[in-house]
Amino acid sequence: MKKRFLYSLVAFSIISSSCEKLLKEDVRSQVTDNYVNTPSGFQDAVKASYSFLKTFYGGDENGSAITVFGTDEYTNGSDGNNKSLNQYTSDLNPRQGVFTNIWNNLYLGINACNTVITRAPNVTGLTDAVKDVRVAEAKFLRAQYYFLLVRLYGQVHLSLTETQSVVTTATRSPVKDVYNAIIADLNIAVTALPIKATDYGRATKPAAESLLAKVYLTRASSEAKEATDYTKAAELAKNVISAYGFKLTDDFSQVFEQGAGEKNSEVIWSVQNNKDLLTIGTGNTLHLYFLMEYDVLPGMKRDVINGRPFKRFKPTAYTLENLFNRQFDGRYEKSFKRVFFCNNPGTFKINGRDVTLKTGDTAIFVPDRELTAAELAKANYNVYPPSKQDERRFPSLTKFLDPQRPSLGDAAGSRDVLVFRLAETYLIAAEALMMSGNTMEAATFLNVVRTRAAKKGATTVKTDANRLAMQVTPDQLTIDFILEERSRELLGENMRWFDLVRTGKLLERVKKYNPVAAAGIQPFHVLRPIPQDQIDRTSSEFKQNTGY
Amino acid sequence: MIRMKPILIFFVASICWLSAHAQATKKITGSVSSIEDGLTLPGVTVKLKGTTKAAVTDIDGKFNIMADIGETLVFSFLGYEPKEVAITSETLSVQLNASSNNLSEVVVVGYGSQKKTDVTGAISSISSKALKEVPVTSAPQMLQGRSAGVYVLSAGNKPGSGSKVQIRGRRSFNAGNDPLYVIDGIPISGGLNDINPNDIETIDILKDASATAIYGSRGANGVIIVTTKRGKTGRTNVSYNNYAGVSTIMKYADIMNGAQFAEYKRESRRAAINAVTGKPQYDDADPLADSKLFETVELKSITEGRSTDYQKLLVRKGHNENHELSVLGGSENTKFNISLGYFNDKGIIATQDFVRYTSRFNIDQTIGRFKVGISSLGSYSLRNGEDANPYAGSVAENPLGVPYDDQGNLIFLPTSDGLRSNPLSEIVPGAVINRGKRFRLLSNLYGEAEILKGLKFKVNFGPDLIQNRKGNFNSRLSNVRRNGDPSANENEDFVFAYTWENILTYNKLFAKKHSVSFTGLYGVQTRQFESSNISVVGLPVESLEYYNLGAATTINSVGTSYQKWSILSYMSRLNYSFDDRFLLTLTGRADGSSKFAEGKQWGYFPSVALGWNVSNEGFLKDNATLSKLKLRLSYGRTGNEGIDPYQTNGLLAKTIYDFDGSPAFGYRPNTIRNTDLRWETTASYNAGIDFGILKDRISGTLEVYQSKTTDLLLPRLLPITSGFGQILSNVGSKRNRGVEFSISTLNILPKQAGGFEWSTDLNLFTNKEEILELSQGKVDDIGNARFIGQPAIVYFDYVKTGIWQTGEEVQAKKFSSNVGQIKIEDRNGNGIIDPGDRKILGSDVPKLIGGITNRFGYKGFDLSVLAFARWGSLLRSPVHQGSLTSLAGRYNAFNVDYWTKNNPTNAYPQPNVNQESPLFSSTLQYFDGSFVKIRNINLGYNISSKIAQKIKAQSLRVYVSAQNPFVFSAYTNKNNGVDPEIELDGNNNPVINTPAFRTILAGLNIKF
Repeated sequence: MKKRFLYSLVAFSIISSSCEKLLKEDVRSQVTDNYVNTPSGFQDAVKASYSFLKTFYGGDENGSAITVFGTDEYTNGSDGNNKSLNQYTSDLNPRQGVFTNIWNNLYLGINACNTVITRAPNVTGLTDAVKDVRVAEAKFLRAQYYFLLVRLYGQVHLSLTETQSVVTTATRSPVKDVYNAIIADLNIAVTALPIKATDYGRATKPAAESLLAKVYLTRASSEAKEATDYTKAAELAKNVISAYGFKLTDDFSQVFEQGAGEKNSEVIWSVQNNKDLLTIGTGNTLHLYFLMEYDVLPGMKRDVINGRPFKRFKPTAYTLENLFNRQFDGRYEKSFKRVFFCNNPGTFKINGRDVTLKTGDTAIFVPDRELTAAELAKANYNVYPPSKQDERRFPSLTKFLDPQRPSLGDAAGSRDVLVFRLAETYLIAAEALMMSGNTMEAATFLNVVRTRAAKKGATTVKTDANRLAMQVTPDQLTIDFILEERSRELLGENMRWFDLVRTGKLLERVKKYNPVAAAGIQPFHVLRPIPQDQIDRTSSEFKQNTGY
Repeated sequence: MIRMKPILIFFVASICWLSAHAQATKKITGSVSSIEDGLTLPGVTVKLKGTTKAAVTDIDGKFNIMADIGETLVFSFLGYEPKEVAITSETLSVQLNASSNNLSEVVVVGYGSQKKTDVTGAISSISSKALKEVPVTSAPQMLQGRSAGVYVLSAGNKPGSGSKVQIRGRRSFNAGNDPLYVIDGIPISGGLNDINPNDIETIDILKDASATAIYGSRGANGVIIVTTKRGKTGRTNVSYNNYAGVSTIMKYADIMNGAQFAEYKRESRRAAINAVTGKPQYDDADPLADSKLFETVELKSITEGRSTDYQKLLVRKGHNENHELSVLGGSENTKFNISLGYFNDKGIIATQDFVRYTSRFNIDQTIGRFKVGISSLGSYSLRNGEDANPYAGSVAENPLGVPYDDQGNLIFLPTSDGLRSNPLSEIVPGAVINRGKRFRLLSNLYGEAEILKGLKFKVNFGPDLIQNRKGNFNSRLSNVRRNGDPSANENEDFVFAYTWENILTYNKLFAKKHSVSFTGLYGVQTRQFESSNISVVGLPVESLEYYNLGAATTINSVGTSYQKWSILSYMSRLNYSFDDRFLLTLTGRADGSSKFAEGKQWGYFPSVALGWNVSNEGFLKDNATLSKLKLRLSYGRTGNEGIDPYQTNGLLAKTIYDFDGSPAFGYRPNTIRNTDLRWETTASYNAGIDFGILKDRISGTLEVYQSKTTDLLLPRLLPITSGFGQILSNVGSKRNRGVEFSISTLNILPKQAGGFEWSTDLNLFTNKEEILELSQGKVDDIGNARFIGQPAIVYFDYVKTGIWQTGEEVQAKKFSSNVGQIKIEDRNGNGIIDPGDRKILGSDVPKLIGGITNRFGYKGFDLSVLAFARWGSLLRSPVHQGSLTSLAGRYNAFNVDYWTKNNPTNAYPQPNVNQESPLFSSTLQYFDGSFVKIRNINLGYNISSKIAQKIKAQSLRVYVSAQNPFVFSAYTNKNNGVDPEIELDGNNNPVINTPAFRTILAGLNIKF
């Protein structure tokens, strides 16, 4: 009996002494961070650093919400939760999702860049030449991310190495230090990056120079300004214009031609999107936000060609009425979609009478002026002259429309987002030159852009006449004129708020041209609020921007 | 006189017996059955009173004994009240009453069972009787309203939805609050949905730490032990149970009809003033105003007074049916039970149904000192429409549109609103397919050896195999695709989990008074999960559904994944009882989990419990009033590890980018290593009293407890400037305190067999949840609406005080609002409405929960009524938020009393086409969540055994049952709510989905 008991005990203990190995985790479907130390992991970390561009540039609404409206050129449409950014109400506060989303995304991107930069020396199996270019790409991107941060939030936390353990502290570095870090990164990027990248879409030397030009231009009017900033900005811009063979497209509308047209001679660097659903991710969603509500009107239904109207941003009356010289400047016509053709035939009550619309008939027209009673009586379609325009019905910006989406509901568009294009480089050069007193040269750069913008006439003679009419003389140049030119050329391109803040014109021009925003805007609005989460979670003190 | 008769007979008989001692001459035969279900009882001891002469009933419940007329027979049987019967004829038919005060009643305690009188922990048992009386579609429903401390919430109204179970409140934020389910000794993951409810013999719920500590690692949220029916020695029984029923919607949502919608749409345009002209978009002075606003079909509806209520067209009568066949029996050494089940539930929405096939077999074989056995549960289920929600579309659809054209064909787009397709097109066969198939085989194989007397060794091996396959297809004419190319996706996963346990038990009684029982365990649990999915767009032929994804033009996404975790466990338990008066239970368990950081993997979970059977003390032993009194006290620690594995590693996340169309997938830092991740631990105290009064005619239990959960597995939020927004850490603590009371009373005892009887079970409980500390200490986490001293989920919002009325323009402007808009209380008085004006409005935790079951019996009829109630919780109403109260004049709306210039209500704001939703519309959604529901009324009739025997049946019962017949709540009666048991999505937000329904069903139980 006792033996039996003993045997059992022995058996029991043998069983229980194995199996400890089951407690070791066996990570199979996920990747641990040691991977970055391998050659392919290192390359993948560089690619990952690019992916954070998408959030600001078209991947969602945030990048546009924070730069497009609340300015002189755009006000809010009827929909969306970000109207406070246009109206400068108390909802524009540290808990607003836009500020948190952008802040969070940029710091995730910065840590991804930091990982590349920190790990590079330890990666074996790649040549130093390759590593140097990749590190330069990461530094270019890091500079881009910090440049967005410093302009939006002012003093920000500066982190230049990979985070490898839990960090609960953060500090707000002086704006000067942030700019110095950005410029240091870009100086390396300018030296190490190739003129043409092996893969289209990677950072290049001209892209780095374009960014650096804008950094200097912006720093020049900031608290961290240095005397040579405008000169450096002008030199860099001029170099980009002359040294690399970039060329303005012949026609303004060609810049935004979808498909192969997106890779045109004017594009210096763009955020990449394509039609492959496996790599599109959030894609470019900008096509959603500028479109009027056409789909509920008689004769129309929503389709892929016309798009999905989110009606977030509506041009201000100033933009529509005053900005463009419609006689000579072709950009008004080319920037706005004002006609919709019937895609839902039937008989409808329009202008007080029964109208039968066939597919392809004009169903909606948004004229640029009031129509006379006689004109109205003839119009067999819905008409929205300025007096009938509202938060739902307005001229729609064409630049980002994407009729090539696979289906009606797809938000992810396939268009590249043009971050640096040559027309803006001309305008940067013009602004930098003018600010450093060289209005003569500034005017020549401005006129290049304006010449291209001239309306095409019926004959070459008429076209030439229009071009001539577009020319400006040095004495016409003021910062307001530069801003207006930027608006005409770069309408809606995720930069207006920065332009107004940089030039110190935000309050003045918003009060003047954006009636919805005028009552709410205050001087402290030139900086965005630090997200409350950042303040709450930081164990050290992290101060809010004044006014919030 | 009648009363005198037995006494007289007895008297005469006694004399006879005295005179003719041992001269019994007659062979008395008879049968013994149970009053309760009429089943014959084998193994009943039949004793001739005053002698040593005895017999035992055979497997048919029959006996014979030599005795004389007038003598008395004493019948005794475990679990039944002893009975004395005077012999009046040579054949007797005796019925025994199941005893309510059963000293040998057994409770399953985990790794064994105990006599109820020996239990020291807080354990609720639900008897097979209670389980049987209500036909349910899923096992967790059996728990609702039945047991103190067990809060069962509906997980939705779709067929196959199941329920959520909370025991003694929520402890964890992240590691889950689901109890551990143990089926026939094997802990399983997931709930009980795969189990045929009819296969369940008993359910025991372990609530306090002393009871659950033996499941240490996974016991923190309570343990639900399910014991399935097993074979018995005796006659082989074949039984067949069925029911079939009809379901109807409980209440349609009160949405606007055509005329109301038209007026609401007009109002939404009256409120929209053009900034340039100062004119409203809808101008009542304009005779053409309607024709400008409405489209042709709408105008026609307005003129003709036509209105479409899509929800009424969508909802149908549901049907369900259930069939179960089982064979149960055994010889002395072999016992078996086989059952087959079929359950079909066609929901009240056409594309939603659930079919479950189950099989089960249990075999127990004794071979001398050894015993081996297997129990195996197989289930295969088919579910349609789990992720489909046509109902939400039907309530939002414009009632001025028409669903069919003149030829009776569906119109896909009833109005020109591009976002809304006809809700009825969602239920066209083949238009939207959402089909799930699930297969599960859960087994337990065991071998047991008695090494020495009282010393047993048992090995359990429980493999659990689960396969899920889910296919989705959306045709062109579905709301998802809206004329776009068809899309489809397919997901599969496979789980292989097993439990392997080695258990040593030793029982011994020393010196007649010291009873000792020891259990030791070494066990392994591991779970491996693999999944794959693919999603495509552009199928050329709609009939391909999701069966030829390769034919699609575009692949959206492809993925596979793998997960594995393991737990190693050592456990020992010592039960000691002295003289059936003093009880002691000591347990200790150590668990190692692969999910935690190296060096932190092992958690130790001790517990101690004391019990005192006061009623076994001399001074109470023969007390006529107090028949039972037991005091219990326990303390113990339990753990929770319900997080995903691999969290201690620094993981990278895949990123998506491309360079000029060539994929540029990358990897970015995603999680930061936590080298300190460890168990979430709950320490709890429990004190309980079990009492019985008047021979247990009144019996009950009172429990008080407090538990404190520390090292909460909670994301510790980090400043994102480091590149990481959070790290899963052990931070913060929570406390739960509660009182549970349950009482059973036999209000009216039957005077004779078949007489009127009435009994009541009542339970009431309350649990107070409090957050003590969060990731930043005793600091509120406002971003996540978590507050120190409050439950895990609270509603933190502004307070609506009314609507800004005409004349209050100036004040309204001050608060950046307008007349007709919601007026918010400026709680901090700073003259603007800012986040500081929000307050904690309430919580989803009820202040009191209760259930009451009343049972009546009379002459073969039985009636039971189960009511369930809760008081003092706040709910977020799904129909008072989202598009139904966005009041933007686009989608159909809940029929609310909205503000207009002529209707200065304070209830709802003015509709306005220029809004996504009214400012502060979230304040409109909160309501008192209190309700009383009559969950079930069940009326049954046991057809007398004489009639049953005509069809060779031992017993035959028929019944009808009404489920959810009545709901009483302010939310539904005053505020037009639909069902106070609201459905929540994964983020605890209310959703409009398949509505609640009532069911009437009829059933049959027959046993051969």
